[in-house]
Amino acid sequence: MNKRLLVVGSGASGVHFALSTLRKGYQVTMLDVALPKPPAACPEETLDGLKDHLSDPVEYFLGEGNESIVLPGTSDNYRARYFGIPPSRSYVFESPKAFSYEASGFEPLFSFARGGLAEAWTGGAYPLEDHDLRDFPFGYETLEKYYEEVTQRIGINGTADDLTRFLPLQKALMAPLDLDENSKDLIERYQGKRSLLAKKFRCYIGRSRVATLSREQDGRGECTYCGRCLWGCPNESLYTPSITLQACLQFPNFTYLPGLMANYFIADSQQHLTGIAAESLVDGQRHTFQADTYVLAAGTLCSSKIYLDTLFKATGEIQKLTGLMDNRQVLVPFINLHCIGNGYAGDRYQYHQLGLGLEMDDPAEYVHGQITTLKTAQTHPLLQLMPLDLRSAIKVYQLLRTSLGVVNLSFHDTRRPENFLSITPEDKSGHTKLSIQYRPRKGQGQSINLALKRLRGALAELGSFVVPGMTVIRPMGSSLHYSGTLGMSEQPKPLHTSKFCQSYDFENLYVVDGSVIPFLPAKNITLTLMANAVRVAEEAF
Amino acid sequence: MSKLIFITGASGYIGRLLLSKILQEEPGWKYRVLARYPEEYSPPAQQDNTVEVVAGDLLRPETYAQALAGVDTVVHLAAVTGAKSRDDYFRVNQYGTARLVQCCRDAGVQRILHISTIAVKYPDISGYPYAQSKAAAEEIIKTGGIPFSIVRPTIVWGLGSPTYAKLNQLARPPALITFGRATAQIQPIFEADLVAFLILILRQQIFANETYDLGGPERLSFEAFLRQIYIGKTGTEPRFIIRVPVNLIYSGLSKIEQRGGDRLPVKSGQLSAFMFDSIAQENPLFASQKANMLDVRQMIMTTHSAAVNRNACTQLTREARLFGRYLVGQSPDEYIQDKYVQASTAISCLTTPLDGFDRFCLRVASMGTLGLPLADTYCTYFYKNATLRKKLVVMTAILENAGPTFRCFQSQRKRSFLAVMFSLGIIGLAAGFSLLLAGLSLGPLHLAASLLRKTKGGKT
Repeated sequence: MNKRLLVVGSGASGVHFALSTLRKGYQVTMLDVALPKPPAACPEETLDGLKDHLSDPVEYFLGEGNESIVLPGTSDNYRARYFGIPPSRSYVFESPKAFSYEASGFEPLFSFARGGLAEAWTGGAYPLEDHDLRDFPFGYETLEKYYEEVTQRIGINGTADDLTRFLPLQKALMAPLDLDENSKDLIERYQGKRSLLAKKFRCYIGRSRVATLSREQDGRGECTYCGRCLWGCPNESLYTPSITLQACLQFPNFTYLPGLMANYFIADSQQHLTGIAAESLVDGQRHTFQADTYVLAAGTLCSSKIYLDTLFKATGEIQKLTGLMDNRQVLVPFINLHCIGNGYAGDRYQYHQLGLGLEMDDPAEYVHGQITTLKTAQTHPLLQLMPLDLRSAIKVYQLLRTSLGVVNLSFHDTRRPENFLSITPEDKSGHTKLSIQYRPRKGQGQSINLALKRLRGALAELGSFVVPGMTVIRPMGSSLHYSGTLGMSEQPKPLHTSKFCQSYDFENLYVVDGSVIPFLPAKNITLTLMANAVRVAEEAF
Repeated sequence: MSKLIFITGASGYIGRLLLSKILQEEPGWKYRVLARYPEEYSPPAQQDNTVEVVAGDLLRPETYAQALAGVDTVVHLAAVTGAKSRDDYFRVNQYGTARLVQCCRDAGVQRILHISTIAVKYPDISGYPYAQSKAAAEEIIKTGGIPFSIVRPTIVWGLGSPTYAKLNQLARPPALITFGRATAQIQPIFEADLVAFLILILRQQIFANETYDLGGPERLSFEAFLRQIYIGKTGTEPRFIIRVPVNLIYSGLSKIEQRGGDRLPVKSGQLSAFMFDSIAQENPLFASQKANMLDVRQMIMTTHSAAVNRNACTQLTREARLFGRYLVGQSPDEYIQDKYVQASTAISCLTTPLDGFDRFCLRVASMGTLGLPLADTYCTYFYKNATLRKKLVVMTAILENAGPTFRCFQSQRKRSFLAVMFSLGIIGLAAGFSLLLAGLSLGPLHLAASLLRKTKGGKT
């Protein structure tokens, strides 16, 4: 077999598609902007150790230009405010100069990093079930073995519990990580009140599914509880796609071309792609690359832009890709009264360890929550929101720190025509601009209120109360689960893809990232993107 | 190429500048520096211990004679300057130089670079013992039998220079003070240009037993120089000039000195600069460097902006200590102070207060113990975007990310629920009291300020 494949992008979908096709013997070339990850600072240190021993800890934690300081009354620090992206991971969200966008009703983040957006994810890895897949041209049965395959590849921890009713169980799951005191208290109290919570609030709590190793695998170390999760796992126990990219690089039939930004595909009159135009980030030179089959995996926003640019180059027309989706997210800070007075311990796993499911009348409208107990996160953004002078705020925070937590609620989204991506005409440098429009779903406000009411009630039963006035509805675009612009459809139609993610517009083009997702459930989609990419590689190639 | 250089006066004004610059430019050379109080002296940052500090005294050759072994060039900067007694000048500048030259000869030192002064050329130095002692030192160098270069700088200008401190006092708004008509011609040189000249001599080994006058590229009258300093500081011409009769003061001071009045803050000799020209005689080496030197305007502006930065830094450092003590109850270390100064200079919204009341809050906060909690409390509730709050948040962010202060954000020991609730109650009570005080004291002023602004806005 010597068929040549060209994959655009090294994110979660691209690397797993590449790994599967490489194993099948395809000649795979990967085109990638590939902004590199800086090496981890002092990998052996704990978080507190970094603060004590780095020569310039303030620069490490707050950035060279203090970009991670969130100041009162300024809106320009959007990233720090909503995402808390530390300087050590800001490379994930940097953009090349040639890329630009305009957005209405949407606050997007782009990634041109080696490994893509999931280089900065929090590891939530949830399989979808049949309800979630109802608009997909296949069901859970089709995806099951690919979920299993990806679970083995990346290492996910989790266990059978009350969330299994929403999250099918993979055989390859590792044992869960040790719980921190606050999470442990919550889950123990839940055990005593589970039937009450199910009956009264239709609320279920269990262990999160997290792509972090609880035992060594493939040369990656198990979680050492160093407390540095938020600043980038120093020993790769938290999975990121660049780990799979490393695995791909071991194959002799793999060619990796970093430093190149794909612009558009070149199509002939038969709607057959004959090449891809890309430009070098170093000197701006344009290059053309050929393959037999092309695979878009640059992430929904970038893949869609390349798709739109390709149509524009081929036909001169500017098209709209409708159906853009993202999860609405709501952050609900709470205080666990039972943990007040516990001593601070920073050497714990820092991301969500508990998951929360709110069952709805329509199972597809399930609301998913991730419960993160606050331990090492930056405190100054929170302190300035407290109705106290800063000195008192620090004292109060110090007393309450070990009892604080936040539930990150996610809501489903559907493909709707009013939400679309398009491009503006080319500027002088020959680049188009991505144009994004998003309008929230009607009735979303009621869904949020209902979910919040039930959450407040459920938490109160567990001895925790939601801090009044501090719930934040994050802007659309915050969840980074962008999807739906080239949805899979069994009926052939333009600007869509087949069950095997093959474009209906160009016969030798496949799209394997979030663009093809026809319905976005509340559960984080990343695991499904990886499983679907493996499915396409296994079944269509 | 010189390999091992011995420097006297390395902890002095020019010595410090020379050593830090030469370490950057010639990191491969080795240096020995003579320090009378080594415990008070720290050499500039360096690689591979290229600087060796020798504890010793110029007047006691036995303390440094051995350290001259293997030295090929001595840079002799040590001297007594300023308002000192006649004996001090001669003991160090003449006798000390003589001891040094003797030791250099004994140790086989090959070259001496001696820094003198233009004052040795004044037409009358009979009442100026400093100039006499430096002239004597020049003679010792010239007759010492070791190849030498002597550099005679004119007035040296720079943030740390004694001249800068003195002349700034004379050029203070609203007036300019001069001694006499101040028509004497001067040729000020910028400190970095002097250092560059010294390094040039060392690097090119120019030791042809010559004496080089050295000034800046521009000559002007003393009064014109003072006027430029004034304009550099204020941006305007001085409103008036006070001319102090120099001859009268000179003779008065001389008489007091002759009667043994050694403790005067100003010496009659120091007024010589107002009476005699301090200009450098042209020489090829000086001429070759002129094009690279700062002119008078440039050196005044450079020094002025450095002074503004230094003052701002001093104020911000004070603020950092105050904020640190307020927020976490401990004075932050130098690292945290530096980070605060850096951030406060770099973040634009911290450098300019929003309005008069904002500025007032900062002033109240700077009062410390009582003012800061009051101003912070008031801004928390009634003026959320105040610059003071932003500054406190910046300090909080720094404190929580550096050792040891980050521990102030963590409660290390386990406490009972009731104990925590009790503490919270106390904090709440204190915060409530603080709010009451802040509201009563700052509230009316804030109200008045906003009414005033509205009235003004209405009129325009």
